[in-house]
Amino acid sequence: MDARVRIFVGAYGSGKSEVAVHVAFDLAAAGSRVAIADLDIVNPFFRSRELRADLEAAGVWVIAPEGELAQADLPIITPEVRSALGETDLALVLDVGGDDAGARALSQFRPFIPEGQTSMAMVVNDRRPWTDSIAGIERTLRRVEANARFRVTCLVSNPNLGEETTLEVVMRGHALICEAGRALGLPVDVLVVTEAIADILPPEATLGVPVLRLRRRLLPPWQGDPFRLAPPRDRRTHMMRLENEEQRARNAVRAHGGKPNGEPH
Amino acid sequence: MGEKILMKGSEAIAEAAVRAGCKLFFGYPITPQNEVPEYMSKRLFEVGGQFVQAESEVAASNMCYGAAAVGHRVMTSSSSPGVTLKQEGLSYCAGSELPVVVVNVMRGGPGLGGIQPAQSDYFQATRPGHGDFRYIVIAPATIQEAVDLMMDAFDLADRYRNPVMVLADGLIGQMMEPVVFREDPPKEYDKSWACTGCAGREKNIVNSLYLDPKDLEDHNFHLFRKYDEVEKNEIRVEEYLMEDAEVALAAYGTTARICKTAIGLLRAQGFKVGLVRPITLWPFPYRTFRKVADRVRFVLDVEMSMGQMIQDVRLGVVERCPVHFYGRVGGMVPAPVEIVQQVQRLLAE
Repeated sequence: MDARVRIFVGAYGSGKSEVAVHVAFDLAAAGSRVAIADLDIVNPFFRSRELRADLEAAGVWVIAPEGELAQADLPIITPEVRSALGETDLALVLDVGGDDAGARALSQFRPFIPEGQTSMAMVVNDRRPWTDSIAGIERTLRRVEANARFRVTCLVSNPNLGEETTLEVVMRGHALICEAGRALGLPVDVLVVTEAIADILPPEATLGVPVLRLRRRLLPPWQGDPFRLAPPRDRRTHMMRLENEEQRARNAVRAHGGKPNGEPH
Repeated sequence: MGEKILMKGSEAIAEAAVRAGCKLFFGYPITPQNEVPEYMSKRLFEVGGQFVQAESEVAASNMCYGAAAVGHRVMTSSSSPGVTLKQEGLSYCAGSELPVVVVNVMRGGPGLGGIQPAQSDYFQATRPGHGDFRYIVIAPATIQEAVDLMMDAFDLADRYRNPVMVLADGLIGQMMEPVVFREDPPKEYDKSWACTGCAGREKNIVNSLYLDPKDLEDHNFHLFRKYDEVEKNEIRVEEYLMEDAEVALAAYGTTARICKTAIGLLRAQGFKVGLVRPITLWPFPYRTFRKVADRVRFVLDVEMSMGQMIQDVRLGVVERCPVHFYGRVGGMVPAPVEIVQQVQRLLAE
């Protein structure tokens, strides 16, 4: 999954958006020029666009429907994705919607995907209904590949039961996903775990796969930060207008070879 | 018990229905409940069932009427505006005493509204369509509870021969939590009333038309004797940290979970706050509120609506203590800290 263009696909609810967002934040923190494109045309909630403000504060360029349309259940994909694919100094993270239906959103960009500079990682959680066996993982993978018109290059192991994830869940799931990787001839590039699990994970349990410590960001309101207020509607619309204006300004700067503005707003 | 898996609310609701022996689904797409028909469209064929995407919500609810009339377990699902359309067929189901399970994953309104979570269908769930009738209405707050209540919903529908509505909001439909499915086989109910072919017996008629006023009045009396039984037997309510509470929050569904987080914050500051969470919205736990009202300074009703359940809370409290309201609408979900601030403000008054 180390390529200039990192595509994340997988079954519904496999954790694609959480992983994609995490990778975008990490790349930005390491000083890269980063963009994340939300190509999710299947989910109405818990999409990476919900973190637009945080991502932009970290200097990540967020490519997703803006303003009121961000809240619509319309299959909107902004044309900026295509230009971002062509920007050779940009690290681009593509968060693709779930299953074959979601992967179809990617196929229109097939001619613009730079072959040698692209990875397509399939995020797998063996505790999800359709990917709980090697056969199930393979079925999902083939359907996704057929619809995305691109080959999966690696797996991301994300075995979890949400808040109820235990060490045993992670170890058993990771072993199964690694076995699937061997059966499919695909490397497992990373094992995704929460901080709490990472601290107690025995080194041999990773089966030689690097560990990614994930802090969940797309949470329902009773988890997450209880002090974080949802802005009132009118203020939000106003903020979005401001953001849109700022975005246009940033894009204009970028068009002239400038760096995106990393200032929080 | 099977193994725990991580499921989206809508998928979990659909799988629970399959495990409860429901092999027929008739529906029409609408956000944010599309994962229910999506899941059913794959899953029902694995168990020898049938999935039909109807031409409209009205058609879907009448297909449910037909399937229930011949004795099958059947369900439909929709979201707020779609449920309004289904009300016609569901009133016919209630009039004909047909067991049908309806899932409503609520979104913001009125009109087309938006696609984000809301609780503004409390009225259309507990004061349903035309004629004197009731749905049994159950409101899950977790995905596990959604699974358990969904399986119960089919039993309640069969036991009382009445539509049951599972009232969830968009968050329950869309969020993921670990669930485990009960493995007890579906219970059998007497369906000798069903239209299964009358060779060798008197014919059964499933119908809601009573042209003689006396007959129709008797039919209504009969329905309401049944509803009295439901009120006697089926009320479900959770009282959370109410033993020493000086303030009671009232909330259902995901709002109740936000309230629990708020209660944690308030208790850490020394405020004795608890929660009354109706699980059945009809029959409503009036008596619990009546009992609680004598012990608390006030009740704060919290909803993702402009104030609908508060009418029932007030009926329960009967002016024994003040009932206040806090609500967010349109898809806005209250943050725990908003509820904390409301309680602090009301205590300072």
